Amino acid sequence: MPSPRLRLALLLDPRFSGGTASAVAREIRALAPHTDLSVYGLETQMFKDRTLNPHIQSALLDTGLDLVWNPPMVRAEVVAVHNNAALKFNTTLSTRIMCDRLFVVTHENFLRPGGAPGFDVDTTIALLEQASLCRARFLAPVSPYNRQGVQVWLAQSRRRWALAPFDWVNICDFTPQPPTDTPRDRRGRLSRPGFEKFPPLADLHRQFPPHAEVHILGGDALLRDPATLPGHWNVLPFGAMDVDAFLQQIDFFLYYTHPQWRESFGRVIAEAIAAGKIVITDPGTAQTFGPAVVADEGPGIEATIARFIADPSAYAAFVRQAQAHMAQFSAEAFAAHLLPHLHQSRTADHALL
Amino acid sequence: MLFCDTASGKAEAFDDLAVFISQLHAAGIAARTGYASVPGGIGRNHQFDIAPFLGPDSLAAGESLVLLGAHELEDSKLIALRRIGADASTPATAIGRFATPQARIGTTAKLSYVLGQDPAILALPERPDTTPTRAPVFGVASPRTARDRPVVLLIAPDLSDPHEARSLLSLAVARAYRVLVLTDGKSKQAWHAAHGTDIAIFHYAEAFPATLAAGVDVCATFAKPSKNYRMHSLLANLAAQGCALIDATKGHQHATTQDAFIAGPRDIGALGPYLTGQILPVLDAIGAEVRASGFAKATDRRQVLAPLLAPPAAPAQAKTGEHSPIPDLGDTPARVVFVPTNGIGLGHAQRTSLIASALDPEAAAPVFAAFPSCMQMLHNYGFDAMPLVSRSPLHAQEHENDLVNYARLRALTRGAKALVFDGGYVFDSIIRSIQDNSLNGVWIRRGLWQGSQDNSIALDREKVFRRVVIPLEAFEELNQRYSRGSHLREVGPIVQRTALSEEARASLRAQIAARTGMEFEHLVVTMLGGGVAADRKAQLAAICAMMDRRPHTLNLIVVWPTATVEAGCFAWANTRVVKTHHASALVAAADLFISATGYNSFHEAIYNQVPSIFIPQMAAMMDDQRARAMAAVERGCAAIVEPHEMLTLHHLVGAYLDGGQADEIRANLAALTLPEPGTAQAARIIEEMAQ
Repeated sequence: MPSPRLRLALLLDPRFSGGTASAVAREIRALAPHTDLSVYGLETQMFKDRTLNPHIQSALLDTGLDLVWNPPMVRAEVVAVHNNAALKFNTTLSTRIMCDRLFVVTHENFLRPGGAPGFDVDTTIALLEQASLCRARFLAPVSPYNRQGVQVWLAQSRRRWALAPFDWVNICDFTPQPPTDTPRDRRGRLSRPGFEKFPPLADLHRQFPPHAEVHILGGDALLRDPATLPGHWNVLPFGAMDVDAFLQQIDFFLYYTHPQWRESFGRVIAEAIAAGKIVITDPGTAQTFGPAVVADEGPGIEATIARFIADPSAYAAFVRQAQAHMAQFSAEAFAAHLLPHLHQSRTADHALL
Repeated sequence: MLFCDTASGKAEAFDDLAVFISQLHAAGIAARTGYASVPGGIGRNHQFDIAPFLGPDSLAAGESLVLLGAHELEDSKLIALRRIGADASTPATAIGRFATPQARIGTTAKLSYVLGQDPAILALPERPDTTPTRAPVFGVASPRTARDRPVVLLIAPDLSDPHEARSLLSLAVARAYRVLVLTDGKSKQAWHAAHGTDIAIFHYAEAFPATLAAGVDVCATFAKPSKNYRMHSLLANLAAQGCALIDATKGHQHATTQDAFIAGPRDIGALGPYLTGQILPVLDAIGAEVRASGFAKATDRRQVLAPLLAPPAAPAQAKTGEHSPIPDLGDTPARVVFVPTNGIGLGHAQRTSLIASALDPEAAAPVFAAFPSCMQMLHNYGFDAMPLVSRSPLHAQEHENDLVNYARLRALTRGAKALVFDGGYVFDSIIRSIQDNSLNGVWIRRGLWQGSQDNSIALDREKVFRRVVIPLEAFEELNQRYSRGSHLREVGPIVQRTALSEEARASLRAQIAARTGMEFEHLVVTMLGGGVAADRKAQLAAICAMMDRRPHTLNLIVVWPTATVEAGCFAWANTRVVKTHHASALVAAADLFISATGYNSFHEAIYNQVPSIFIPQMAAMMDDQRARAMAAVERGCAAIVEPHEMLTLHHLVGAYLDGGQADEIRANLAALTLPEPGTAQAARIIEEMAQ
């Protein structure tokens, strides 16, 4: 007799924006055919006054699923709470969760580089603990780097949660674009405008020197301090331009965040790879993407770019292999990777009682 | 040095910043902020508050960053902080009230992205709505300013209540103590309008808590507890000094939560007997209890500020060839800074020069701070003078020059004992320099104000001076009393006596003849004033014309070296223009003195027995020159003409020089009994303040 379909409930604040929302939207589409999927919305304090993310809305429409807002109770075999950080401004959680296994997908890094807390993890986890009645609770990281922080936090915390033996990765199934035959020193970066997304100004100036053509999308904070903007930078605020159109302006995507912060996943890097660009980033962020990116602390950027400009075929080859590597983040790969783990966790010995 | 800033651009946050830095300075801790930290559109008081503490926007080597109100962090401040040059080695502390752990974590993270490291967090205690949220409260015991009786500060009494107002007026005349009031600006204005300026009243933003507290022994507060950081700092300072703190609020809201406060009477009427019967006799004992109280301990600056202050670095070994710091030898004798305003002429500068010249060099060392027009005169008297900046219509605000002057005076008066100001309007720079450096302030305040003038602001500012020296007019009916108190000192007229013997007079006249190339029988000196109050070109032209029709008459138009002289004056055959600071000698040698009736020139004419015709200058900001001239005329000691009465002047000139009237005038002057000049007396008063 075939196993009954997994009753899976996704619980999230569907008003959040950015890459995580896009990934969850794809997840809904990927999981709906294979599970008895239900989707529940929580109105957290973090995304107060925002509206339903259009990607998630579209995914719900396409899959014929209803979104139930602020349910008093969520019942399923497996409940996956996306992004516990959304609860960081909450003092209460009125929704009750009853399930066999509870997975909290830790989209935001628990710890910043150096070990300082990224947010009030303990309060968010405590709210979920108090709200849930389940046999086993898991924290599910989204990447190797994200996993490291969760591990350290668990070791320091007195909370009894298990670390999921797999990464609940972001689905990145962008349509690959071919690389250019004639790469030039056109470099850029794209991110949301938060200060954490940008390295110190001195580093930024070194990464985008005068001899390069420079495009920056999401430079809102830079634009508010025009005295620090070199004349050769083309800076636009976040959302001022379509991402695809922006990426067409560059051949090299340089992505360095502030040393005091790191991406938990880095979906924007996947976008740049799919757009046919070579991505250069710090070794920590590069962990998630392996050989699909060039990992460099910074000193080697100029030599790397010069090398690829001098050898267009090497440029193209690198981009193609990077795009091939990214296939592991496709929707099909995601479902094939996640569902067996979820089924296996039925018998895993993580009982709380 | 601590570089301090606020995390938001709110006006209240800036006030907290200014108070915090002033408290640090009072505690002997160097602190400043950057120019970019000053929000646009701040009021005049705030500009003066922050002026001494401003510096470049980037951190200097060795500076630490302190951020107030960190829980209110704004993006604009993050952008500014990113530019100050902090890095992972810069000690940084963020102070605020964080309602949740997430608030603290989020703020720490955001600051780390612009500072390069996590700042230390100083979380202010969580209390409902009665404690400041941006900066820590700490008390500083300032050096006690000299006073002859205890000072009682009333905070926020209800001045609009007629009963309380009457009680305050009664309280203020008590001989056992002196009363100060701290209230809002509107209440202060209303009180002055209704009751005058006899009671010293400060509005809340008028002086820093450390300045206010330094002069107080007993405080009765009618203001209920609030979050206001300025008020908290004041109370903490008073506690640190051991002041008696009386809670006069409804329900004794302070005394119920703070052990330093004594529950006292709620109305001012009952306060007087309470003070004399229960507080003043045991002031020392109360002071000891207050200093030992939990409130004083909780606001002990050593404890509160410890997280902000890095351990002192080991003293650096001086390398060969490096300059060693200039040793502080102290001021022996005591330095006294004179600041004459420049009014219409140089009268204030001249008066202060006379007094400074009369100081005992072993008791006081005078230095000057003066406006450019006065500098040469002061140098001629042998005094060092630091230049001040004059007002200019090119300045965006009318007090901008005074902001610069404040910075200069504050530095110049550091280590001095006294500041002597001569002028009608007391500049903010004067008040604040006196307060900041705990100086003995002396105001040389010439009287004879016009009845139409509103001098309430000037009289309100009298409260910062330990002495007000009033140079009297020669004629008693001209002397009016504008304020009262034991700090007032009347002295005889300040006047330059130029006693020329007959031989010296003749010699001087001969020198004049030689210099001008003109022999003369009659010497006329014309000094009609600087021309600032009124244009005197027509009068000068008329006088020159009169003199040209007179044979053997030399007319000297005498002006200050910086004055502008109408070109036409140079065209007259019997007239010469003399630019000099030494007008007194020329006047003493004259047969006739045609003059405006300013204090100095009038008294010189009277005391040196020079026959004079006065043409008063009357303008809104000037003294009552007409009244002064008439006092002499009524005694047969001078003549007066109005500016338009040139025919009369012509007649009088003839009468004086040809008709013998000058001799009559001279005889009448010689017969006058005049007060002893007060220059020496004023000098002794200043020497007393320099001790």
